[in-house]
Amino acid sequence: MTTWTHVLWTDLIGHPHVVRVRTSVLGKRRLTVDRSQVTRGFGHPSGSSADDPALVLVPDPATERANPWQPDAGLVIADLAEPEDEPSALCGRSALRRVLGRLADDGYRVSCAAELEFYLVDRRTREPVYADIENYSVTKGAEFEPIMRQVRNQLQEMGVTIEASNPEYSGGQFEVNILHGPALESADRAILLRAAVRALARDAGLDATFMAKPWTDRSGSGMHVHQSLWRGDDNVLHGGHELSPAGRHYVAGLLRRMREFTLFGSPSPNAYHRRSDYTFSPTVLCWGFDNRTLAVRAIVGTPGSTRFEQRDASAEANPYLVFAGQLSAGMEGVSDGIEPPEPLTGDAYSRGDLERLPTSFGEAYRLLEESDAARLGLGAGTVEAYLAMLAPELDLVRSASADWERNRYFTAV
Amino acid sequence: MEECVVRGIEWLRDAVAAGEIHTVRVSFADRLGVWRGKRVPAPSFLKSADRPIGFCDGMLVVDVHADLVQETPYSNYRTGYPDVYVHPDLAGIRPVGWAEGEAYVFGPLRDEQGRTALVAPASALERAAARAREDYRLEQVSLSLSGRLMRARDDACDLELGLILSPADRILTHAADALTATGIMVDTIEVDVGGRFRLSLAPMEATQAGEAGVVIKGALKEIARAAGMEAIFMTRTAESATPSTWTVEVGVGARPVEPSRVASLAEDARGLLSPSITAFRAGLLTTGVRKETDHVVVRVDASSEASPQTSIACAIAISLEAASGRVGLGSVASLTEAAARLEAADWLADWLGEDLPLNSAPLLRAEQAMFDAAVTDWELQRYWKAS
Repeated sequence: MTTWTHVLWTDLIGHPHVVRVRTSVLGKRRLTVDRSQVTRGFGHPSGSSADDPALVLVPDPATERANPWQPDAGLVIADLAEPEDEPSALCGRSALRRVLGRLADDGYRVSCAAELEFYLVDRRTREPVYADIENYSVTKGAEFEPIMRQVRNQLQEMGVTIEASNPEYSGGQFEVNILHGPALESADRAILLRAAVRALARDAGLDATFMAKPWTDRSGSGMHVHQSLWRGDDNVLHGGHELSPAGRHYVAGLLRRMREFTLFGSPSPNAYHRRSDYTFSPTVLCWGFDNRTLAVRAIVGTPGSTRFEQRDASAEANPYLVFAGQLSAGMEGVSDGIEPPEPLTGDAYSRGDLERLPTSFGEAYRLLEESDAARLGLGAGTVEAYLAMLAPELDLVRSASADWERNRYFTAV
Repeated sequence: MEECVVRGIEWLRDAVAAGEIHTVRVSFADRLGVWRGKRVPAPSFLKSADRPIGFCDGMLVVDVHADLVQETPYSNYRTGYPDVYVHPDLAGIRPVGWAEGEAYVFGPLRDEQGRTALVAPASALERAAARAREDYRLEQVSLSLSGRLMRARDDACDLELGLILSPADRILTHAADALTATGIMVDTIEVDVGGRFRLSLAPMEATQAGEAGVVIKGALKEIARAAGMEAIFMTRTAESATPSTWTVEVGVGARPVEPSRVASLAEDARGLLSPSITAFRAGLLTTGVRKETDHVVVRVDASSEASPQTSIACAIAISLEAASGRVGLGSVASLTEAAARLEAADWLADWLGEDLPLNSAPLLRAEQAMFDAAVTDWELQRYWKAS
């Protein structure tokens, strides 16, 4: 047994935190975190007061694993609970658990994988570590293997199976593919990946950012969520060479709620700069088969590999909430037996006749604010807390004076 | 250094078990021969080694900066950039001789329905080599690559024939040894002033030579960078510089070959053999015919910016068509003309398939348009003060 255990918990915006606990007292001593820490969002006062009761960390024994960041310590992931031990509405992991619990009650389970993109940047200049597009370049990748190999190795040590990594479609941008798995475990893996990348970049004298759109003229960073729905050993999305009826219903559900759940996947005003035409980030509400311009890409292969990839979330989002929203929406479609529109072929960006996905933080905020489906799916308390946490962004984005504005207007007017 | 051959999946299993290999580069080459792929942890690779690995199909038809051009019919926003899959050739797994713990594998590229991606240079070469083997009993080709080793951004290394080993010599020797350990036999290393070098491979089967070409270029770049230098394959780095090339030699048996026919057919393929502005401006392609005791050898020099797989496929087609008496359509004066010629050269499409020439044409036009629109350093120097 290790002397120390790192208890990792995630705040509502999706940032991981660690409490270091002597292993011998783990499970015996009540671990708490200040409520305001959980709802800090992007770093503004949370509205919680010191008098509010602290939240309780509830380590999930199923997540115990090796800890490559401190080999003499263990690592376990925790949920957040209220003092009376009820799951906290401020806990994204618990919100996902709730959704998965309802699925399990109906006899389903979900397999998920998050594809995450990020930039490695110079710590001082905050510019990408190289300028040119080197997508999938094996030789360029070799330069960053001292970091990327460690990312793969550390995650492997933590039981996170990595499928592959490669330079992405912008200078300094990388992608790591994590093997699909049970939804809760997959969201944990996304959190661990972001933590490992940040830590190893720092060790190498660099920084890593999962910000959605750090530069106007470079690709944004996305979190593409692959998901398949299972009953026992059967992938119920698979229907031979096409989607099954359940598959059609599931994608119809994703589309039905995509607009109003946008804020879960795009939690910052910056994320809406990523969501623009001809960027490989979707802008219109549509689905189809193996097409990267669509909001939902159906990949119909073997029974084991048939799945949907929802492509709108950004890499900075809280994966627990993103998964919870998408799975809840998909299952709603299955429960209601709704049919999707015809699958789209061709260039979705050119389809002015289709409904557009939210183009601003304000629009997405309002849609979530008005969403009963979100409250029903993830829990009203979670949605209210999430909205409250992000409310300051509405005012900040209105009042902020951006570099872009200075560059464009300073001397011109 | 130990000489090695292709090792295959069983070797990989043992090497992973022994802790010798941790990563597999699942690889393909784009239209300019750039080595691309994903790094897969070796245990993950072994778990489902025959599982195809998907990539965005647009990467097969990117421009020199890996950027997408919408006019390529194979892949664009209208096709939606679906996946194309590498099906790893499990018998062709090799160690990466210069990167400890890594192995690599290439394999056929196919779409979701299992159709071969004929736009890929590897597929075009496979097709040309198969035809040459069946119709002409052509078994092997020779390949060499020249380039430059530069320090930092601009200074060429001091490489001089006959001098004791310089740091750059050590890089090239290390590269040759590492490639040999990978299973790619480098026969000769030539060095010259101005950082110029040439590596020549032992004659080998055409598709193997093509894959080896992709790997050599990647290896030289990686090894040079690790030593604080750059391996540069821009065709011509200065007006007076000797162009850097892929040189492909094809034995065509005892048939007599008219050198002018080789040269004219090479012009038809020039958009593939000189695929950039700098390559095109370096001048006419060099070709040649050499008579050995019992056979004739045709030589085609392509720009070192070109895909080695495409260069070999074209050299085979040019050599054997010239030996059959075909004559090309005459010289081309720009990338735009070269694009039109690729679209018109039916004989080339017969050898390579039409996908590679037809998708290369819009990329050539786009490159020419960018150059035509650019204000060059030459213009600035000549007209800035004088006007």
